[in-house]
Amino acid sequence: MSRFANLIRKDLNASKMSVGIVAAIIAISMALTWFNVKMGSWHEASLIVPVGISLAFLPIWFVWQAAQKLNTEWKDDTVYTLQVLPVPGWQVLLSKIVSLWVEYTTLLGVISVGTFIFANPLIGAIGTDTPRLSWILRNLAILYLLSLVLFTAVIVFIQLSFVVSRMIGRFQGLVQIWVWILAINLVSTVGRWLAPLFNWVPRIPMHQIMRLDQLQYLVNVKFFLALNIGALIAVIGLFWLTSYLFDNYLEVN
Amino acid sequence: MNLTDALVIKNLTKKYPKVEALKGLDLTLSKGQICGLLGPNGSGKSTLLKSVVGLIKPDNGSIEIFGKSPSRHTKAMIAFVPEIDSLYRWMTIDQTIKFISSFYDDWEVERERELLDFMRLERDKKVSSLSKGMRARLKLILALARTAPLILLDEPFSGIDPASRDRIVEGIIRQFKSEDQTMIISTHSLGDTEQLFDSVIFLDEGIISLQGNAEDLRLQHGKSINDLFKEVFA
Repeated sequence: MSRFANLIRKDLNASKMSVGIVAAIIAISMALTWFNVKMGSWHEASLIVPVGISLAFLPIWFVWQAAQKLNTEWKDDTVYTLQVLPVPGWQVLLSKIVSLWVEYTTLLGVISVGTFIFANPLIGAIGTDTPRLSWILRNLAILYLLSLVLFTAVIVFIQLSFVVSRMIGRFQGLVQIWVWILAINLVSTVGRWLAPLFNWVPRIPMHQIMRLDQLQYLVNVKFFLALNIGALIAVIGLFWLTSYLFDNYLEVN
Repeated sequence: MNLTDALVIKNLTKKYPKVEALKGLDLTLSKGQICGLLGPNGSGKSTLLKSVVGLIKPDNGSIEIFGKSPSRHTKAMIAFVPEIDSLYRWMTIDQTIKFISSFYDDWEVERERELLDFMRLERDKKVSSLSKGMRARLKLILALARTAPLILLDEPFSGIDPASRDRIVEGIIRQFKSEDQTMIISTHSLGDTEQLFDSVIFLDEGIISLQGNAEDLRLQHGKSINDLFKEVFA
């Protein structure tokens, strides 16, 4: 366990500078917008700009980081150090996923805290009656967990496509795109195939869990879990496949 | 497999798209010796060492390290120093040592301290700020601070200044425990390092062209291993 923790710590240390810079840029842009609104130079609606840009930027940055986590090991030749360690491939790959979770959580935390501090009027604009803080925190936590699952699947696709492209060694960009497409296709197909097995799982009324009835608009969202259980199994299967390929077929030259 | 054998390789073959690096190589290496793996660039030395450590998957043949095929378990028995710079440049020397040592049960803190002093490296220095010679010395510390039964050094003297080279040679002599360890050092320029080797293997285009006890070869051919190397690969 301490070996696994050390792998995570190493990955976090490697990216702390870039995460720190991005977090600082987000916080500064929010503070700057708030200051200009307070001084009356900018309209209050402009408070949404840094929040919106940060939230839109986050997934792009996240995908980039996921690709870089493995790519940098090859680019810097540190893969020689990594591959001779007596640890299974799944620990190496999972440590990168966990470190990405931490980075994602950190940046989302900065955006959330920044929104509460500098863009408070935006929260009031969510509904006619300002939702209670507990409502906002609860829904943010749910959205955070759902996005984490989605992003984890994305990391698994990225890792698989990277490992396969390294194994083949030629046309790496093209191979990565193809593996990526095939992986997404496989996950959705397996999800559909396995869905009948999990039809007994009730649809989750998200509007009730997230208490969307507290909004002025009628929102009705049901989460079809049966389809997603199959897809999740497929993602876990792809992670296992990536680890197997990493251990048994990946060469370092 | 004999109980005294550290490494047994049979019919090892490895082909790359444009070259056959190993051509059915057979090799048995007994425990407790320092073996020089000698050959010019492209002779298959690195491929052989990488195959043993598990970085490369051979096309054919078998490798046994103390009776076991290369796996995660044999990785724990091998201390491998690659030719290229494989260290995390953003780490300090101390962070590098702590990171690597956490993966091995055979790490000896006392040896680590002794080697750091001997190699004249300061713990708080960043890897990115070290010279090539200093990085080579650090890589050697990472291998020699362990009591790994098999140590593989791939071109440890390549491109190193004479002072660092002497330190590395002396470090190897001081730390090598012949009763417990076996070491393979690959090099393409022998120079004054031949004193290190108990036995030598001359590798030429993926096959062994000459092999034997270093002293026996000197007596048999009436010349130093360095001169023999020049003659064989002339």
